[in-house]
Amino acid sequence: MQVLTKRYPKNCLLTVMDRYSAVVRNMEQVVMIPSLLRDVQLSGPGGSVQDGAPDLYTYFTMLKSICVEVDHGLLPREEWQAKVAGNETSEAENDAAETEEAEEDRISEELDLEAQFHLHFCSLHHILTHLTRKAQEVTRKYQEMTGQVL
Amino acid sequence: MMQICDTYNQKHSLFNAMNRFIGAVNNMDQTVMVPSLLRDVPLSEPEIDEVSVEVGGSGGCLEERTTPAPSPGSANESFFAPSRDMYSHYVLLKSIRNDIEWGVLHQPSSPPAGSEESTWKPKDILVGLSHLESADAGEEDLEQQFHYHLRGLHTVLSKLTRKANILTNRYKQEIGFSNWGH
Repeated sequence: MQVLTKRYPKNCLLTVMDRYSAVVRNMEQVVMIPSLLRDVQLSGPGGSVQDGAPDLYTYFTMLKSICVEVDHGLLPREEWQAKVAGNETSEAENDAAETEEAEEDRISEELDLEAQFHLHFCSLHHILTHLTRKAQEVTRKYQEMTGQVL
Repeated sequence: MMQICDTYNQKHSLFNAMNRFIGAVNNMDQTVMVPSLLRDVPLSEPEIDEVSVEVGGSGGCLEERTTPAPSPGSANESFFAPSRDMYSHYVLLKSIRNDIEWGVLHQPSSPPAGSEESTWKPKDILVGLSHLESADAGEEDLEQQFHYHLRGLHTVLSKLTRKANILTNRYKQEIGFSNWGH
């Protein structure tokens, strides 16, 4: 696996995006049969399995779909909303989307551009770092299950 | 093996949004030779900007302010002044460009002055996210959060890019205006 880290400084958001993209691609290459990941949980730090945590297959599809946005840019708003509505059609989710938008407006009003920038920039950085680690865990778990541990 | 760079050539990619912003700030940086000329000049919105080109008093302000570029210390003071003039916008835009180019994590964050007025500071976000990482709750909506912040960053970047362009144009106008008088 080759990660492009030389073009940008280590902490740059673009480096983090590159790394995420590469790790997810690697995961996709390793996981030949994604359905094997169904109903498999990631074990916690102490080997405990958390109740109600999503299974690895859920992670796998989520990580892949986020990777599309990392690589190709933002989905148009309508497309994103259609996607969310398609995945979860419950009323609660729609309400959640509405409150999220209200929340968004509220934040935009409260914060100046600098604070907004830092909020989104730092959050993206952390979410991507976290997701990169998740992708690595999914890959490793799959390799364990299929006996490919190197 | 990984052809990551190619995929960045998409119109809406974050990479392009950042590059546009960095380009606009670089352009501003090159245009504004004497940043202190921007002190006390209000940054108008584009609508107002187009109508009132002959901003009253700013020409006189230019003649008075012929001091060389200020020291970094004085820059910090005006940067967090409650009412922002063009100069503080100039400093802000450059500092955000540096954050994009070099990352923000290892920089000493929020300055003492003005930090109490905003409840959302990078530190809070760090705490919030480390909490998120340890807790099982919130895992499912990571995708939503990611999308939300990506969209937010796009919006902010396009606003900032516009601001940098307005500032560059205003500076050119100011310079042109003062030359016109002589």
